[in-house]
Amino acid sequence: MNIQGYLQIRDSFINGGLIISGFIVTLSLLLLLLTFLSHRRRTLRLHAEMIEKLLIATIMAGFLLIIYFHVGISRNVFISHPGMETVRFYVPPWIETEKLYFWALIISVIRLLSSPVDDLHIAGSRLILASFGILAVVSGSFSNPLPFFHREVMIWGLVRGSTDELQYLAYMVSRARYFYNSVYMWIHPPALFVSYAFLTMSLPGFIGMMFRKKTDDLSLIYRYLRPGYLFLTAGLILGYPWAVEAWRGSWWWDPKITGSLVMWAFYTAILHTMIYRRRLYRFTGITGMVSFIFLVYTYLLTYISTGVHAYG
Amino acid sequence: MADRTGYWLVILFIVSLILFSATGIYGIYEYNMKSKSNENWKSTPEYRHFMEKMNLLSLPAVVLMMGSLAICIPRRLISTGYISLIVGIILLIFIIYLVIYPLKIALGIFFLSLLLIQIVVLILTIMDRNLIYRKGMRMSRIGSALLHLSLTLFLVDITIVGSGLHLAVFWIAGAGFMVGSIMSFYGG
Repeated sequence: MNIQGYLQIRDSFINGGLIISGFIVTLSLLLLLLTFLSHRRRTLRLHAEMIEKLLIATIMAGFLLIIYFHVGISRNVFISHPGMETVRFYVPPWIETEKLYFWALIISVIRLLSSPVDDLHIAGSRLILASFGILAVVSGSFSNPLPFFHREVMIWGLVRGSTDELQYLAYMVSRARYFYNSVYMWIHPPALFVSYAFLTMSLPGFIGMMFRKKTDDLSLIYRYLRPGYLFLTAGLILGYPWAVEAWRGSWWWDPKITGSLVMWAFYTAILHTMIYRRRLYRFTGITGMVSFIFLVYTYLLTYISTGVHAYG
Repeated sequence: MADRTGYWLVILFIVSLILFSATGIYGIYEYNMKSKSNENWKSTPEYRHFMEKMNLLSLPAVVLMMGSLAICIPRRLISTGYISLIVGIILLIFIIYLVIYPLKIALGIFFLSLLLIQIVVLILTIMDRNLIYRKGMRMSRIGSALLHLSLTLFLVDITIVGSGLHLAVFWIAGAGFMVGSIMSFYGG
């Protein structure tokens, strides 16, 4: 392992991230302000649109910086020991403090590719984007990158040359194999975050359904709910064999997994209420709101609950 | 009339999902409470008791869910009256088996019977027989039949946890559910 190289790249990432963070927070606050003001002054809409595009571009640039940091990690953090194959750390860019950033990135991509026509939907999706922009920065994507991984590397640096080194290397090899480099880690969490992003973007449609009767709300919900549900199901399916492999039988009724299943049940219920949407119009809107609250709760379970997912 | 039955079946299905969700939320609460009172509770028999209790608590919701699905989809094949009678008989057999056999076996037979009905519906949908569907093109109908069949297969699979076939069946059910969902959503 080249610990100096790792620390150097981490420092340059934090410094570069400081500039990106400043831009993201400023643009997000501006977008929030302009979205509220443009409701009364239509002339401000063009400004809001411009700021939104700038924010999306900045979030994407920030993600490129994250990728640069991760490539740096894979080059500098590796286990090389006589008689064994070199193990490099391919840390996925959607763990620890980068989760919300990845979520915000997918929201940006969705926002860039879609063009809602309804005023409520435009305002809603901008508020979502701006809020996630701020949350992505506040969560420490740039200021405190990968704190658990960093701690592991620092401990590794401390035990080097000591009698504990071999034991610690065995631990790090298992961390690389079953966690960071695991193929499931590269497909299960991103599928869920993509799903979260789509489901978040359907929120303005559900809010609309609570207060008015407009087909635009239904078409927006369908547009985002279908891919959101597909990715949610795929994410859950892909997580199962991983759980069986990594935790054997000690994860049944784990809070995070149960929460995800309950969330899936909520969105399955919505898909069924949509069949009889005329009769269950407002109920669908309310269920959509409750489902989103549960989505946020399920995400937070990693931090507020015990269980096998409680990594933080 | 058919639409009215469909509506109430969907309501029944939603009720089963709400029931399952309520059980799940309670499970999250109890899991956390137990973890807080004893950090190592998962290595004690208490965890096993908790799992057994939660499996039992979620059972009514799952049986209701599968019961409503078993009527909802095959009613496209034969009249609601007949299919309700068949599902009623299956339920009765399930209850009798529940008394005679362990829960896992009784459940396995119950889910397998429902799976059989779903397989017949899928085959007939593919053959494009004159089935009653509320709407949708052929592709979407096949997708709907496939995803409901796969959901039943997931439950059959839960009853064989620990066997060598478990993961293979899981992947088949997973693939079926995904393909069925895509066909149902985007099949027109």
